[in-house]
Amino acid sequence: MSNVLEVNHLQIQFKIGERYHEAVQDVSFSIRQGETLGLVGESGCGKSVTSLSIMRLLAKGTKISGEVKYGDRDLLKLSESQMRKIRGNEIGMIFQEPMTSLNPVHRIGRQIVESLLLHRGLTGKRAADTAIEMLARVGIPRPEQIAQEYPHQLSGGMRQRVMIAIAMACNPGLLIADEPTTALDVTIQAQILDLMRNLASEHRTSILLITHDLGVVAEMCDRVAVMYAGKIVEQGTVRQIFHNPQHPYTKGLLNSIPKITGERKRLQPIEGNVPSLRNMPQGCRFAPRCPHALDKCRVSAPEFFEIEEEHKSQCWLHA
Amino acid sequence: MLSFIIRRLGATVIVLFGISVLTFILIYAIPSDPARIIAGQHASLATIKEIRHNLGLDKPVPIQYIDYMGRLFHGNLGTSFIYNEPVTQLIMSRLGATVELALGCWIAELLIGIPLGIFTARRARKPSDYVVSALALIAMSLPVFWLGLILMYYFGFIHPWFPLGGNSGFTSLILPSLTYGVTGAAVYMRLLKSSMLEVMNQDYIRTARAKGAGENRIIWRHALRNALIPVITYGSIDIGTLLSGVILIEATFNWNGLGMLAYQAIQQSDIPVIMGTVLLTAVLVVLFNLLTDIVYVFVDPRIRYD
Repeated sequence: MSNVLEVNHLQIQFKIGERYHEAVQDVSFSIRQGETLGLVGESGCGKSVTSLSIMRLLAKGTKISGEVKYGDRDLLKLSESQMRKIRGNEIGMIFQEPMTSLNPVHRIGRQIVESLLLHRGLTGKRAADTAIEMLARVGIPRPEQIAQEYPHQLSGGMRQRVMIAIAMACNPGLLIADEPTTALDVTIQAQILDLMRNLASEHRTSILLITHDLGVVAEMCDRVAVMYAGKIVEQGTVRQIFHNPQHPYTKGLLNSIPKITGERKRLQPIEGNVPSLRNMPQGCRFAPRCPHALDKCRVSAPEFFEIEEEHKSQCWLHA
Repeated sequence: MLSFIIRRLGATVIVLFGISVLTFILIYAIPSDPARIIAGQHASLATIKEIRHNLGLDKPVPIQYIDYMGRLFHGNLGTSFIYNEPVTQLIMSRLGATVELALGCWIAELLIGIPLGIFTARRARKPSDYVVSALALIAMSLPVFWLGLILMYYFGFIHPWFPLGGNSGFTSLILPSLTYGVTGAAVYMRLLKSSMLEVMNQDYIRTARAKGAGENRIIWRHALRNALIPVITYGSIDIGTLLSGVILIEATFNWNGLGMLAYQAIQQSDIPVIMGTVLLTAVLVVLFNLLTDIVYVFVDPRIRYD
């Protein structure tokens, strides 16, 4: 199956004070058509930054290098106006904060119509009708009425549905969902995930799902990339990652999830803290927190070792 | 909404009552005698006493206040001591000129300030932002009468494109409006700039970008309306004050408006005219505040007064 998105050796540097610091280092992954890839990691590991760099929505002055291939185009090489034709049209995006992601002074209908106007040239009644149709598709009751309302009149779950309607209005090939359910309560989370899955399978839309919630990953994803301190440390299918985790960080993540079946044991949190951008450890970035760290780990950074087909891990233990 | 307006108008009555008392007290705190000013330097004490009696100035201050308020409730602002004309008539004769000037000045401020606010917000921390902001600071600190005279000299005298003062039609409005606009626009610019910068960091602006909206669309459709609230607040106070007279501009450009009327009334202790103009100012400020609160509802749908 062909890749919809291919990210190769992505590197992102932020300017803090006078110096550039590396937030994302040598990140590579790909998403096939109709597939859902989970990008997992703790807060601050570079997941959101990675997704924003795909859309080229990072603040000016951020250094990005590498390759982000969407189809046969390298998004990092496109002009701003070419990029605008891709945003919201070929790649849709939804964010973590449904409460603040909609413009408070525009009616819901108009916010959906905007995408249709920008990319499909739809105006007037046809655009309004399509917007209402989109609202109905994302499961909003009384769509005609809701289209006339303002964001503050809707609940968080409803607003996230509206965000999905906006992101899916132009039937994008790729949907980037940055922690789409983090701000919602659990029952609503399940509904939103269902909705994303159904819409995506209807249109064979690929999803890049960014989350720190392994439960969401297990539910939604075909493949998983685990990120730590700006690098992908392990990649594989959901089954491989959950049943046969290889990287000590992935194992640590899985051990810190409470289990409701089997013998009850104390949770095992990962000791220590995520390193800050200003002082990244030399060698393997996880070494200072790793229970299995070798002398080698503190000196040189490991490359990927292939565990089996599709499954690879970046750890000297596999050498 | 209607009940909100009624409540606010009710509060207005209390505000106006307070202002009338304060003004009355302040006028009598000034050691000047209107009767003496009317009678002139060489008048005899008897004449002054007679004038004082005729004007009711020999009564105790509280009684004078009650008399004044009694007349006010019948819509009578009294008669000017100096012009011997009803105050209402005096104010009405100057009101047209003042409204013209106030609107001219206000529009000039907005036309200069708002585009510059958007410009400096878009160019924030770039050289062009620093240059424009520095120029705006200089413009803000220019004395109105100095700038007015300079403009008059170059565009009224050297190049006689505009009249040298007086209020005679549209062309005479340009220079005074421009003078006020240049000095007043900086406040609008800074308010809008800081408000725009705050809005541009909001999540919904990122959403608009993710939809593929261009920079112009983001500024005009998404950011501006959200950033306007502080500008509207200041703008309404500003127009309210302008409508009660712009003394410096009126004096510089020999514009016969309410500002000059009030100024002369204060100099001559013309109590009914002072009271009339002060109360008018108060009414205008209160009304424009109310109007602002109503305009908020149309700008930001989250604001409701139910």
